[in-house]
Amino acid sequence: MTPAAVIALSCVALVAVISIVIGAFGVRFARNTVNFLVASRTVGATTNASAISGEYLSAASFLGVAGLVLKDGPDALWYPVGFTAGYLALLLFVSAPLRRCGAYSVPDFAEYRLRSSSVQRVCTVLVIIIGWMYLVPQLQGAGLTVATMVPQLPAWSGMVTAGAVVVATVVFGGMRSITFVQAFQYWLKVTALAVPVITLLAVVGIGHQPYNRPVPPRFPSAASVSIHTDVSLRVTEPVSLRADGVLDGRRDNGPVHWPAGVHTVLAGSILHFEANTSVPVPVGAPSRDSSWLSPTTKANGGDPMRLLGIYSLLIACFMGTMGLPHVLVRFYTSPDGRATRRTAVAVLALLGGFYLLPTLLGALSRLYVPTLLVSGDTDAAVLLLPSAALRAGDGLLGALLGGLVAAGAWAAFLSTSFGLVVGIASVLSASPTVLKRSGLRDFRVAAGIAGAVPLLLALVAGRQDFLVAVSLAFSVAASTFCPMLVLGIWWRGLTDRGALAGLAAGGLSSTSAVVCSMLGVGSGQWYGVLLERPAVVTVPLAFLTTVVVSRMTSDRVLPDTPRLLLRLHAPERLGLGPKRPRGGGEGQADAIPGWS
Amino acid sequence: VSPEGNSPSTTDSLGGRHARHGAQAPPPVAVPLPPRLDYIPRHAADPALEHVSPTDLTEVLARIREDPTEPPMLDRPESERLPPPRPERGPADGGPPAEVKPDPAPLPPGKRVRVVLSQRKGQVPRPVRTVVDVRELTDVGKVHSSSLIKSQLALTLKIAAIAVLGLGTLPVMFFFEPGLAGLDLFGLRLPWLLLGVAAYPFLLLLGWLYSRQAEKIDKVFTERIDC
Repeated sequence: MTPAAVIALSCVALVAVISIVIGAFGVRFARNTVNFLVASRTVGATTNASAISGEYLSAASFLGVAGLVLKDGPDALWYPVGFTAGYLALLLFVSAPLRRCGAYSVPDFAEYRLRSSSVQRVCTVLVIIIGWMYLVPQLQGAGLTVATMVPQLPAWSGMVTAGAVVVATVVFGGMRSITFVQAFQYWLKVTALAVPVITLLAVVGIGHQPYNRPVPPRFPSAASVSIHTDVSLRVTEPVSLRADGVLDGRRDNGPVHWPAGVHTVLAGSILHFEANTSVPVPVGAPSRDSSWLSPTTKANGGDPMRLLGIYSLLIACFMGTMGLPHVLVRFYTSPDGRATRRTAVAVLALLGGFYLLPTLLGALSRLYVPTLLVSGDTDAAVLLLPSAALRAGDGLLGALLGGLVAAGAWAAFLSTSFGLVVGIASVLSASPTVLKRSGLRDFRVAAGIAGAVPLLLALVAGRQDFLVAVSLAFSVAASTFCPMLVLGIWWRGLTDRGALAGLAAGGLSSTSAVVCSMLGVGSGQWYGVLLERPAVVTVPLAFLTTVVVSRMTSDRVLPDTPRLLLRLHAPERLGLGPKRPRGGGEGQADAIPGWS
Repeated sequence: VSPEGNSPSTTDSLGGRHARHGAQAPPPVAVPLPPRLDYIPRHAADPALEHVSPTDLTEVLARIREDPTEPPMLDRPESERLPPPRPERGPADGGPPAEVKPDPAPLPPGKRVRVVLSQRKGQVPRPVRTVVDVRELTDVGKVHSSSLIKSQLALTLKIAAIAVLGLGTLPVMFFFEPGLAGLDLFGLRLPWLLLGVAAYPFLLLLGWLYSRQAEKIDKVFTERIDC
């Protein structure tokens, strides 16, 4: 094991241990079910905002943004912008009303607003689906980090460790301790990216190698690339390499000369490139630096479907954030609607500050780790960049920074996974149909289930780019929960039938599109974009279905809808809201506020 | 309330219409009172005075009633008792001091009442039971509640529209105007500058504006119904 691997492994272990320790100390404050779950609402606004950001910035944000910037250039920046805009939409449309109704999850809200157990059940199932879709890339990120930093370890060891740490902390900690863990992890993530950025800018600078060249990127040093999945590479300048594997359908073992064109490489091949040769780029990504530098335009042969894809992505992020289970749970830790709004504004500031860093790192990695373009592991860019850029001397500085980044990456997976497991476990344990008994014990059982299933999925499923995988979850959330939440909060005409129809229409259309894109259906076809990013079709479809069916069943509008809506919007100090649990009691009504 | 309180007769007592009809009735005593000295709260008034025709003032007074749900009122300057009136001299003849009506019956001690001394100009008197109206969703309460929701929704849609327009026009602009996408600004390409840097302060600013305005709407609503 190299010194760099030892450093990275000990940093990762340190993060895991600190998370568990903070969780164990926090549990002393938890006295009963209520404050165990909702942190007694004694968490300060700054701590809460840090915790929300820590929870929201997942593997996709920490690793994926830089990786996709390395591959796609400014088109990739729509992801972080969309995530931040999604938080703004959440602030605008749902934050204060949801806090005021006391709902702890979307099923709770459905129960409050529509008093329909069937809608509640459908919502529970959807929360679990979305949560698991989101958890799988987190666990795979943990595996990728371990496998990248310590080549001797297999990826599954990282996934299993991450899953175990998450479930253990949730089971023994609860929400209060998780709030502190996550606030700590937000600042750890910022530090883990800010220190490498500052060091790299100070040591190597960004200006010595211009980006605006009409040529592909070049290998900064001799590189061996092992290919894990079959890939098609576009070569724009003839390149010579040594290869061991199946290239262009032929078995090769020795020197190879690639003329300009598209070449295929099968999994298991190893390619050796000399320093300063041009980098073959996967088909679909901009191959020349100058085209990488500008977004999709008509002039550089941009496909209008790609433009549609950008809009679809923006819709999914803008509308999907409010439906993510780990985001909704967090509202309940603010004392009232006003504090919820202020916390959300602070979160917007923290998110914006964070996303500057991976953007910069992604641009830098185009210079130093273009190797990843060939292997397709662009998500590892942030992890490999420090050691690749700081080769001078014995490489100790690069190894230390690499260890810091690995620690931050683990903080990212752990915090998001904590939030997701808590969110899934609370709907699982609250749902009377899934688990029979109520109370804390079942919360722990549910947390185990919530963590184990996605771990299995992560182990068997193939790995996509993290941003792509996460955006699928956003699409499903936007097509299902967004119409129900927005219409339920702002429109008195919503009925249970309308909500059910909308959930069914949006849920079925978006999940089937997602499944198709995962199976590789339609890749390369004109409709492939719509399968990978279905929100532009499915979100309007869900809204339309909800409204039309609600109108058709308008006799089912609850008679006290005006009162329910008033409680959502009236400030708490008027005392119009629902009675709140005072704490101390046992049972479901206390554990899941909003049921009283 | 005696309607003669602001009678115009005081100024023409010497040569006006009243003087010409002096034979039928004794001329009214010139009483140059300040207008509100004769005010008697409704509950303290003699039942014999019930026949008094309603005026603006009685309209206001009719709103005074005890509301068990209302919290005890704080001391306010406008509800302090006026100082005892100083007798004034007659208007023109410098005659004997004007006859002053006796003070209204003293209030029972320890009982607080709301005293409305005048109608505010240009402002409807604030209803007392609005918070109850809203809580019980009477017709008045429904109007208040839906106006709150409407103004919050209008604010939300306004800010969301700014965000959608601000960000949503960028992909199309870059797509059809490649010159814009190639523009250099502060050493950065415009798309990188807008998407990588400027988008976040923009969203933060919108969030901050929204939160401020939404708090204002909440405050106005609270003050309107919780008086």
